[in-house]
Amino acid sequence: MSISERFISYFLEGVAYCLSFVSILIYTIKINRETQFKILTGFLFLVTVIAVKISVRKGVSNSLLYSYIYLLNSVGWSLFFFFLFKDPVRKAISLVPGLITLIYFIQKVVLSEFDRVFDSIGYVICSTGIVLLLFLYFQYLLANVKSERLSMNFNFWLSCSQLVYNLGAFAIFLTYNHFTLRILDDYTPEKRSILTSLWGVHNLLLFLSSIIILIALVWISRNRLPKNNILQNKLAEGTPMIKPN
Amino acid sequence: MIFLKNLISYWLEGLSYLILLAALVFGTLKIDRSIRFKLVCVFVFVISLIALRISSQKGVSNSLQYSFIYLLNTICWSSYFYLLFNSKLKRIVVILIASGALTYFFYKNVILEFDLIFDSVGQVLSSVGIVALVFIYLHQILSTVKTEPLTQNLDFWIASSQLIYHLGAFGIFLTFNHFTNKILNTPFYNKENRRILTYLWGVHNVLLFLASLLVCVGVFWIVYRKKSKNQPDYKSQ
Repeated sequence: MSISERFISYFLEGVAYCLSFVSILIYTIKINRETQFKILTGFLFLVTVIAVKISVRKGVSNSLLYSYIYLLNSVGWSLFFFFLFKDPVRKAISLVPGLITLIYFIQKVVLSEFDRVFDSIGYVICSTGIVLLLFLYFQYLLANVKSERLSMNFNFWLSCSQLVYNLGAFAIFLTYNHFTLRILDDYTPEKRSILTSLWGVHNLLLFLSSIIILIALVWISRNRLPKNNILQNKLAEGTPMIKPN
Repeated sequence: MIFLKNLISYWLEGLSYLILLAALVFGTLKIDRSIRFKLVCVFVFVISLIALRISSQKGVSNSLQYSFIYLLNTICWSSYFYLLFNSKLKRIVVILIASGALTYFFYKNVILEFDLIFDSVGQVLSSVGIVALVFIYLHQILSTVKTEPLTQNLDFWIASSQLIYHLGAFGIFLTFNHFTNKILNTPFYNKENRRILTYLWGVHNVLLFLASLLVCVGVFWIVYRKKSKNQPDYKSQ
């Protein structure tokens, strides 16, 4: 396995999460300090630490750590959309995927015997839930059209990045447990290398999604109008201003 | 005799949590349907499942399950007291205590390697935090005295039960890891040593059982007093 392949299969996951975390942290500090971004930053920090830990160590089962990742991802995105949506129905729906994943996690990790093999079902539940929430958000976005450009909406970029990752990696999540079990029956380094490459594809998708978030951050911060300019622009557009008494 | 020992050391934990759950559900339905009681019911339900699972499995390490129990206990009682406290400062203290235990759990179970032995530090952190929250609550009810008798207050019964359990079991939590390590490292590891450790956990289970009984007594007392108040006074007619 070449250095680049090794990097993609083992280290790219940690790098991608670091990139996403830093981008969202900068956005939260510099541009928008709403609750949903603070929560997402907190959850992403935890996921990044776990991903880096997975990248660093070798030769031991990391299925438990991956289970923590899907749990944190699902709960984190559920809470993100809970604080993003304004109407009570969407708020209630946004909590459902997180709760289902939490119940599955308790059943699988806490109540069942420890499983050394990657938990595909947990990941599939998590991804499906997040994708459903994303579609709910897109429906919400289309129903509430604003004059603001869509490219200036960070939530939209975030949702796109998650759609790319979760929808793209869905097939990998779905089949990974099956392939691992099959390979374990007839274990050879060559077959293991195929499985590692498959995880490399997942890592590339994750990296792509983090690049989308980074581009969004750069784009929005470059095109954002300074506070003084907003007033001038409104005056130029002829927006009626309330006269002070 | 063996049956009694097995019951106390292995099964009493799950049983106690089930009694606590039943008492809390009954109390929530009959006395107060506030969100904090509902939240506690959900958490205790999950903890009961884990405790029953621990009781049923033998010969395998259950340290991860016990770690989840202390994590859930911390989140459960922190949320409960957060909703119960009436000042911002007290709520900040709740968040700090919960964050401390959560950070430790994350560090110990995610960042470090999986440990087969009981995590005393985590349990101690959780217990100390909950005891501190109970004392803050006691300060709150003493500083805002009401005409209603204290025995009619379900929160008071729950806080007292948690104080008995966590303060009583503190010594066991603190030393359990040390004793386990000592027994595992001795060249003459035998069943006798292990039995002593099992008895020690039996004492913890008895404390937990006492705490759940206290909640039971509290709930039934409040319901009984409410019923007797609502009954018409025939003598006065």
